[in-house]
Amino acid sequence: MLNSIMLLRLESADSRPLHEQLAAGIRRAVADGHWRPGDRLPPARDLAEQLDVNPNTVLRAFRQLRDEQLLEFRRGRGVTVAPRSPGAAAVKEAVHGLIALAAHHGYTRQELITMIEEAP
Amino acid sequence: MTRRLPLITTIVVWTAVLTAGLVATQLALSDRLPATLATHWGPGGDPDRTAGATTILVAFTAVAWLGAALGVVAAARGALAPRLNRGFLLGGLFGLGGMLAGVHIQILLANLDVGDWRQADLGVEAVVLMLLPAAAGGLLGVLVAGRADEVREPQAAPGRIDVAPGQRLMWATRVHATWMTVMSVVIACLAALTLALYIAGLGDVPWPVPATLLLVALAGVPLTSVTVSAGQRGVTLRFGPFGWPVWRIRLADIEEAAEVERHALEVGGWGFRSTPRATAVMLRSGTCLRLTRRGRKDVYVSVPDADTAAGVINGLLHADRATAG
Repeated sequence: MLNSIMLLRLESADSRPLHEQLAAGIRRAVADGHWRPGDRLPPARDLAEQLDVNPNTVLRAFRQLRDEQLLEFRRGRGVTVAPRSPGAAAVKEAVHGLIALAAHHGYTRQELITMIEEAP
Repeated sequence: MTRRLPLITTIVVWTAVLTAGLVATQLALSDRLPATLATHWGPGGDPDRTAGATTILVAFTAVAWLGAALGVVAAARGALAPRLNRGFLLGGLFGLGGMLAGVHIQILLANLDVGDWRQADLGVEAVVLMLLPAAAGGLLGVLVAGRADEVREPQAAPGRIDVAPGQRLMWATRVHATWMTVMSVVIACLAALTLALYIAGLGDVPWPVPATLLLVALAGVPLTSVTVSAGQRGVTLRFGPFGWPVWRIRLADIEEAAEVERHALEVGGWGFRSTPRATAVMLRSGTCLRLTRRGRKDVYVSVPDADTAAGVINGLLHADRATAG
């Protein structure tokens, strides 16, 4: 049986807001196959306590990932990883990395899109 | 290997001696026993089940050797090298042997010198004959297991994931116990079945039977899964599909965390266990996260990637102490 494991790290030195960092960490856990479709995440309250952040920060990260269709909120079952192909999660993670890299080097999102479109 | 062989030899020799004892006792008394023996007594004290003398002997011997076979398999797999394991294994097997011998002699005594099994009478000593040899056997097994293997695996220095100032770290896992889920469902089905029989008035099912089965099934539900998280708050365990009950161990109460190999038998069994030495949550086999607490019993939680979990906790403890000191 595969194991559900998650290691999350938040850095105050990081320019990204905490909820972004948290979302990235969860994305990573899903992309790496550590947290699989249907697996339930620890409750937001536990994540907030263990990371010493406001519960709203966690909920914001959860909502963002739900909008990305990575997570599902289900009544009585808490927050679970949405059923999807593992490839999609990996691509999504790579896209996020690419956007961050582009931003770091001063490219706007629009310029990045143009670059992708012009790519062979 | 040198360690496993004596254990297996002990099991086989013990079971052989037990078998010889059972056979010898029954042969010695065979002239004074009826052809069919009463083997079970109803609530009123009247015998209600019978078996032939040979069947009884075969059944008792079979149970003894089945226990021995399981013991040999466990020993050969090497999961049972440390003393506590050996204690549990031999204690269990010797206890089983004691109980078999006790029940056997009890059946023989009850049937002794009676013309017909219907006259077989169970004496007041029945309970003593069942419990005392079992307890004595268990104790003997633990003593035979000895303290020879008390030296545990060499402990590596506990790992630590360094936490820089301004950094926040947490680790989480979710463990499912399929066996517990299956067991709870099976017991719940039995509860439903016996309840249906009770309501229908079939088979004389007393009401405590379905009630007890239902309670056992419900008690198992929290142990079907556990979510474990480790971070600034300490270690939080959430049991079952509803994340309740919750057990929180504060970071300040933890002295040190480590990854250790523990078999369920070493910490008292599967599920949630509390022994004088430790409290354990064993839902899977393999590595355990051991939390050494200040002035309290150690906690063992069977989790995957316990190494990382221990690293996170030790890292946070170190960071806390660095700021405090």
